[in-house]
This record gives sequence, C-alpha cells and structure tokens, in this order.
Amino acid sequence: MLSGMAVASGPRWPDGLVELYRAERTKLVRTAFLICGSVAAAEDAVHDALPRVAARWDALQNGRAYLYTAVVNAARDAARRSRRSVSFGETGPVSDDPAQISEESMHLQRALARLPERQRTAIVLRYFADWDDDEIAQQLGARLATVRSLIHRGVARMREEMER
Amino acid sequence: MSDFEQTLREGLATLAREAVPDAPAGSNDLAELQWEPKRRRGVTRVLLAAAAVVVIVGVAGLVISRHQSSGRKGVVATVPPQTTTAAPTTTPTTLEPPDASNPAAGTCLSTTGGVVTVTIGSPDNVPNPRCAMVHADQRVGVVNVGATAANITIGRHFMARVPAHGGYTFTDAVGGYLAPGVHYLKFSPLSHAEILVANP
Repeated sequence: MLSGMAVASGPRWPDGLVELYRAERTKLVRTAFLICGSVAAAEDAVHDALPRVAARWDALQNGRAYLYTAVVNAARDAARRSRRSVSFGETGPVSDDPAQISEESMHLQRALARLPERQRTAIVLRYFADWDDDEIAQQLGARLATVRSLIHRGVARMREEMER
Repeated sequence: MSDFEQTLREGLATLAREAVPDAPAGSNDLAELQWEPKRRRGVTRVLLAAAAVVVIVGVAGLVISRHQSSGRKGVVATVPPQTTTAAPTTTPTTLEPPDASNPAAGTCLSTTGGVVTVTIGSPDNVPNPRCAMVHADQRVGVVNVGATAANITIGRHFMARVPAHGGYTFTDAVGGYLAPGVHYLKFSPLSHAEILVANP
C-alpha cells in the first residue's frame, strides 16, 4: 500500500524508489554526513538527490547505485559550500546535536574534517560504504591509481591526526 | 586490512550511528517529501514575455503621444497621467505575496500538526529543512541550535528574535498573512529557509 506517496500537487514517486528509500535512507544520510560533516546538510543532500533520481528512474539499470552517486555528489557539493562559508576543519564536530556524539567519535570527526574533500570522500566510500576501487574511481572521475593513492594518503593522514 | 584500517572502519560506523541514529519505524517514508519538478519554467517565461510586451507597448504609446503633442505649436501637451488602478477584487486581501513561486530546494518537507519547525544555526548555515510546506492553518516555529541569537523574519508580519540554543513559535497561523507560494524565512544575510505556503 503506497497511500500518501504522492502529494496532491506533485507527481507520484516511482514505487521502486519508494522501497529503496525506505531501505536505504539511514545509510544514505550517514554516508552524506560523513562526507559533508552536517546532519542537516546530509538530509538536504538526500532530499535534493531524490527528484533527480525519480526523474530518470524508468531508464536506470541500477537505481541503487545511481541514488548513492547522486547523494554523494550532493554531499560533496555541500562540503565544498561549507568550506567556503566556514573553516570546516577548525569548527570541530558539526553534528546538529553534539551532545549525542562520544568524545572518541568527535576526535574521529575532527580528523576526518581535516582531510581534503576528495580524500575524505574516498575514505568514507571505502571504509564506511564498502565501495571498491572501481566504484570510487567512477564516483570521483579519477583513475584507479589516483583512488588508491587518495586512500593510502588519507589513511596515513587519519592515523597522524588520530594519534595527536 | 591493517589494525588501523579496521579501527577506522569501526570508528566511522560508530560516528555515523551516533550522529544519525536509526530512524523510527515508518519515518523513512517518501510521503513526507514533496516532489516538485521545476516544470513551470515555460509558463513563467510566457508570463514574463507577455509582461515585457505590455510594458514596451505602453512606453511606445506614451512616447508617440508626447511626440504628437509637442508637434502642435501653442498647445500644451496634456498627456493623461499614467496611473495604474488595481482592479477591484471580490475578496479584498492583505496577504503578502510570495518571494518565489517555486522552491529552489526542489523538495519541501511536509509535516502534519499545528507547528512546522525549522532548525537554524548549524555551523554550515543550512536550515533544516531547507524548504518546509506549511498549510494555512499551521504555525511556524524556529529552533536555533547556534551559539548566537538570530533575528528571523517571514515577510513583514512574522518577526522575532530567537535566542541561542532556544526556540520561538509564532502565534499566528501563516494563512492569515502569507499568500500561497514560497516565502523566505530569513535568519542571516547569507541564508534563508523556504516556507512553501500551500494552496488552501
């Protein structure tokens, strides 16, 4: 039963996308959050990506991959905007409710925020989203060797930051 | 995979879980999101073109009228003043016109209940939600999670100062003051949320 899926003034969401969104929303927001550093911006990234995915849904061979790609792109945009408006790396934890984040996680988030955006995205996609090198290369528009280098240097830098 | 990589993997999972807790059952529903493709652009262009034609024709008529008047010696040009009289409407209204007809955010969060809450003050200055659909009988509330107070306005009627780590809920429903369309909830010179007042 998909009652209420379509609002009066808008078209109906594709059924497959509705199911996918139900199943993946939390992981999508978490992935976007780790990339852009803000829960609010991460939710916006997911919301912004949905209409784009819906518009092409019928032509997609792998809707899940396309949805993740769209969300990651939106989160990277948000991260770049955030860097322009505030000094991302110096703001520390930027979760909407820092009280719920443990000290250890804050430390990790600060380290993650200090990485360049591409390095951070590569690290998040590898170690949180479990993407392989090919998928990350496609997402970043980079060669495989570049992805491996990004991840290698990103891990090294995370280790340095975490040991401070 | 090295020990550090394993630690990193577990740490990212924990951080993500703490920042974005598991959603309650039923909350991952697209019913709360409005899909508003920007498909009215063509209509907007037609309206703008029509308005431009009206302005051009009006200006041309005025110029021709003045030219003809000035050509007659000893006759004082008596060009009637160009006044615009609003056509009387059957339902006089003081509703403020919207700032935009379509939300830039693409999707607008639609919520039930008496108060629609917008959260501001996050470090990235992005409100949450970026666009909220509000029905005429609903009120707007603002939660400020930032460390400084914020002055907020929606049009000319809704104005308030929201303290740091505080909230404010307007006492009036939007329908009495705001016409359907997108109104900006302004809270900083650089950012605003969009309040999509729904058609009654």
